[in-house]
Amino acid sequence: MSVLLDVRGIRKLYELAGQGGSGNPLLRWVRRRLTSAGDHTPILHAVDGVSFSIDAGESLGLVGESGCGKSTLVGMLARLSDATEGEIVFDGRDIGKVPSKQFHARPERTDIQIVFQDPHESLNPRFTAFDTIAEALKRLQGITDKAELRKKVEAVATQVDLPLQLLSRFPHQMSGGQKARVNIGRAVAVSPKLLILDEPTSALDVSVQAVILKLLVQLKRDLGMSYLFVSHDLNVVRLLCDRVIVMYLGQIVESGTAEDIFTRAQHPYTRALISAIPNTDPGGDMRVRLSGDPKSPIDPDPDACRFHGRCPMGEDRCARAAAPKVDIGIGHYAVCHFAKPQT
Amino acid sequence: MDKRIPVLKVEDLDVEFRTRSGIVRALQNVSFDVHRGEMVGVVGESGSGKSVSAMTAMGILDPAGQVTKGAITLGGLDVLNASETTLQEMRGREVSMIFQSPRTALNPIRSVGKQISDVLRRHGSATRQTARDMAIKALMSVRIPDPERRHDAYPFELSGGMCQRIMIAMALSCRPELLIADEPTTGLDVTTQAAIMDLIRELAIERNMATVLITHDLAMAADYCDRIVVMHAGHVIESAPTAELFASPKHPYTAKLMKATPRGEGSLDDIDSIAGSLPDLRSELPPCRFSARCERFEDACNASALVAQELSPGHVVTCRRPL
Repeated sequence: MSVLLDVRGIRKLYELAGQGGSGNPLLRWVRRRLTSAGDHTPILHAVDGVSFSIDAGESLGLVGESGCGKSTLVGMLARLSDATEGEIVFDGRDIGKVPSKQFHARPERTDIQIVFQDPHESLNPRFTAFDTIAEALKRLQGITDKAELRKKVEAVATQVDLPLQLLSRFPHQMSGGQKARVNIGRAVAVSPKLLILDEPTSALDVSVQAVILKLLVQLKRDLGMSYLFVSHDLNVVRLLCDRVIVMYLGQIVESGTAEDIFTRAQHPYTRALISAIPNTDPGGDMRVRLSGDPKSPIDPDPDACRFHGRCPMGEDRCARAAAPKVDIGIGHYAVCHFAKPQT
Repeated sequence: MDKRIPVLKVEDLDVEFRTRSGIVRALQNVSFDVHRGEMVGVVGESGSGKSVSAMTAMGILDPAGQVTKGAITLGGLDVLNASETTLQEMRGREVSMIFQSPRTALNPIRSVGKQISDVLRRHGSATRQTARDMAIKALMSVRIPDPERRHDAYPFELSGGMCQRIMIAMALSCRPELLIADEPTTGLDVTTQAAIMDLIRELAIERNMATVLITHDLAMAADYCDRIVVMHAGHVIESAPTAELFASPKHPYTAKLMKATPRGEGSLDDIDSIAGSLPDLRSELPPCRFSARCERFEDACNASALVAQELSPGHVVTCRRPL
């Protein structure tokens, strides 16, 4: 299969000017003269050297807890924010070089679309369902003819199983599942090649979750899209994704096929994530539990494993050297001192 | 463990809300009880009446809501006929509640230690001098690292999981008989969720406390509860010991709900959503509120009022055609 998206060593750093230094030389001078603050500028490593690829027609799951950099990464891939370093190669072209403010004029804008988290919040309350879907078509495909627009919007609504009489409704007049459909419809209206789904079902009741997931699978088959599926519901990721990457504090700690990740996880963090999934089978308690909170992403120690301190297996060497990336076999990697290649 | 006298007993409870667009029949004939040392899960979709039941039991129902029928007994006290003063004494000491989204439930401009001290001084035996020590002890009991320093922290300085621990510390500081946890882990990460739920279970066992866990996540209820009460559109439709409920659900809705919850194994074809949505509780409703969504529906289902039937000890189902 051909590679659709190739991300190489992408980083996003934020200088925390307010705490130590500032870009402004005058401010810096004033601060140095008048306060005891050092000249060091703390840097927040939101995403720190992430590389992965998505094949055409593949769905990749991205999991990790809040604050691990998932949303920052998604923002950069959707070209809503700029990376500090690294390349984003989409369909053979490096789109990472295009400033995010100018990206809307590029043809790739149509090819990468995103379904935002929480359909209740992410729809414009003053747009009807029709307006929301039509807006994307008007802006990105330049359709201005009213009759054509209506035809297109209705085609999209049919595709996402949204009853046509709901098109004239405003978000507050629709249920959660219907809003989710509008949101998905807006994104797929311009037939993207890559659809980024940011927790598409987390705000929905279980009773409608299944039908939305099935819709997503169906759309992927019909439209031949690739998915980047961001979620912390691992049961859902397992159902939908071919491959999974696990992020912790701005870095990928494990990647592999969904099967490998869920049955043969090597990184202790992945194991903790998996054993934290509530289990419908009562009994059977051999759980890995994490204590405490993640370390601060501000100025992390380059010579230590970022999971050290929270890791149930941590040793001295974890605090002295960054964990190596171990190839476990057939596209399964783990970044851990304890990971062992399979023989 | 005394199984005969429940800590909380809700009997035939009806609650209505008067709104501009009509009367919402939020609860009808809701009955369940919770015993000492037991964790009971109340499960259902949003809008099924889980939180309204809990709030009525605490006596903190919104003024628009009215109890039209039924009785609630909490540790021997008749909640519905008690005076506000008695209820205030009861809350915090006999029964406590943990709300969802801890960050908004805490006072943002008061340090967390002070907020715990407030509870201790109002309901417990703490004085101004001993309050700080007792608050620190409470923080320690919920395994907060460095409690001395955290005592003076404000909610915005703490993570979501930490804030929820503070809420638990506050709720449990006066050793209540009953703890009501209303979606305690919504908005938290899976790893934090597991840690918080483990903590609640551990403390409940340690203090032999009765716990009500309100959740929409059937898998989580299965994991932690001894008994599960399933609600749909203001009715209790089934209640049973967890293992039995999962082994043989009797109400079609319970079975559907289980089918809709993604599990560890299986593929997307194994999960199925529930057709339709909750009925509009303002309209005239048939005796079985699930009938419009039910595949097993027959005309006889709605011929007369439904009666709860006990199929086996502790397994009660309100359905005319159970599975």
